[in-house]
Amino acid sequence: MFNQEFVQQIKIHKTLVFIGFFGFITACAPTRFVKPLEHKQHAVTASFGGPVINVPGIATMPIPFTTFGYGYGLTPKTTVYGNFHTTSSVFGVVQFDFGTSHSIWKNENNNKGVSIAPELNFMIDVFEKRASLYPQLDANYYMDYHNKEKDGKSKVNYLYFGLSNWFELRAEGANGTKVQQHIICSPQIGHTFDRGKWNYTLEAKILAPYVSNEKIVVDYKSILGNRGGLGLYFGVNYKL
Amino acid sequence: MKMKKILFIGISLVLVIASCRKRLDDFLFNNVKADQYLLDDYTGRITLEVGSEYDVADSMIHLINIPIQSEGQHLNISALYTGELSRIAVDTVILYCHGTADNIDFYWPRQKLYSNMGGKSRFGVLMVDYPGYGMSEGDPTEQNMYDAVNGALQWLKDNGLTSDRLVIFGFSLGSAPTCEVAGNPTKFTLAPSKMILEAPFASAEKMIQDASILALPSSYFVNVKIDNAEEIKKVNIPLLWIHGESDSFLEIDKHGEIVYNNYQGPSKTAVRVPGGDHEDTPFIMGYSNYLTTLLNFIEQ
Repeated sequence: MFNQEFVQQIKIHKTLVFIGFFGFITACAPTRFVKPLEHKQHAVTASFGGPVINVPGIATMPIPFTTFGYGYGLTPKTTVYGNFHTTSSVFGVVQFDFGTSHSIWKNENNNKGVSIAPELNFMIDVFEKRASLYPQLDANYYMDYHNKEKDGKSKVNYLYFGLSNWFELRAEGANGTKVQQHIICSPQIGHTFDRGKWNYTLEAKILAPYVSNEKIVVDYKSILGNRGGLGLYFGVNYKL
Repeated sequence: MKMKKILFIGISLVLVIASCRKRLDDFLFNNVKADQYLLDDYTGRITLEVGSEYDVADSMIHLINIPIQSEGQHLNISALYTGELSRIAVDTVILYCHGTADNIDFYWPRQKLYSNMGGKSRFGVLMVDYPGYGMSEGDPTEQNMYDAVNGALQWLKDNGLTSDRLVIFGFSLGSAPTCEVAGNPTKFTLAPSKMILEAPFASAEKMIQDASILALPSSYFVNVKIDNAEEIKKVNIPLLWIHGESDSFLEIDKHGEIVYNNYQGPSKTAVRVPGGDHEDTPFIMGYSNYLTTLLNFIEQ
């Protein structure tokens, strides 16, 4: 009779080798600046995490995408930033993102607000010099809570939730097939511990919840079963 | 000063990391090396289990060593021929290009099936382990996989096979050398007269795009240029295509149908197997029915 484990075994192997880079490349980082920096403020940023997959015999864990970047408070409401994607570079793909985070609404108490972050993701491989450009638009609602000020230093916690959207501009994929997903939309929720110079963010995304995660070579883990994937991220900012 | 330090560290980091050149070509090859082939005594995982009615007599099993030159390396390639060696010069031979998993031991039950198609050892069947698989030397690459298959063709030719009696059969990964040989016959020692594809993939790029959702270029991940959907356009021999409709690894719509639809040769036959997954179409069809389908195609 048919060996039932065969296909799963192949997928297991694939998962192990794909772990470095494959998968939802759209899900390689958390939202950069949910709250824009103060005017003329500089900050360096780093992030770690990605889609959660099962690595048999090891753990169910996020793909370890890493990025490093820089942000600057261009105006009191707008921060510009850029990031370098280190994991992609290990595989010979130079990947940057550039964007702005813009506060579009705040309440009177300044403890709730909405920000949007239009962004461009650029990639090019060093082998064939094939370039890709993916616009991205994130939008988040945030709310502060449990704010404290001690010894002149503020401690702010805030929750946020919103949408991260990637846009596929190509009409045609491999072998002349029509691209099915032009908007990859991922709801997200996060929490930031703002500790003055340092702040730390934990974020979870439900990656493309309307797309089947079956019949592909990577075994994504999703809270929605056979749809989408779960992304987990850790981000840190250091204000200069 | 602090900004300069950060800038310096950042640029250094970018340069160091960007100098790395890891590639994911390995994703195609799930090879397992072996000191010897155990065949019926093999206790590892196997593709199918077949009954004793498909046994092959020891006298009909021949382990072959085929020396090849590939990418500047001399490699000894191992292959397994089942059937009468003397009949290679007078009868039809099937060259079976196996899939990505393990080695010949894993696919041995399939070779037993084909060796019993139309009667005991009715057809000679040659299965070759690509470099890095089983007892074959080297590490697998796209090019040395083609060179190994060409080495097998050379061995068949040396034993008297002519192109008109050669049927090439590719399963899964084996669809790559099969399409390469059938689409570019002048590059190889023999030109097959018929081809069979079971669960083929469209291209390496298609597999990558399946996994990443985005239409990313394959060069972001791999060096291989395997594109069966393009190679098949050049094929000018009859094609039999078999694919499980429930293939959970290479989805029939995204892979097999594309290859089949791109074929522009003299005649093509499609067998879509309801309920069939990637590996189990012979079992789902029933071995007898499966072999009859193959036999009808070869003998028509």
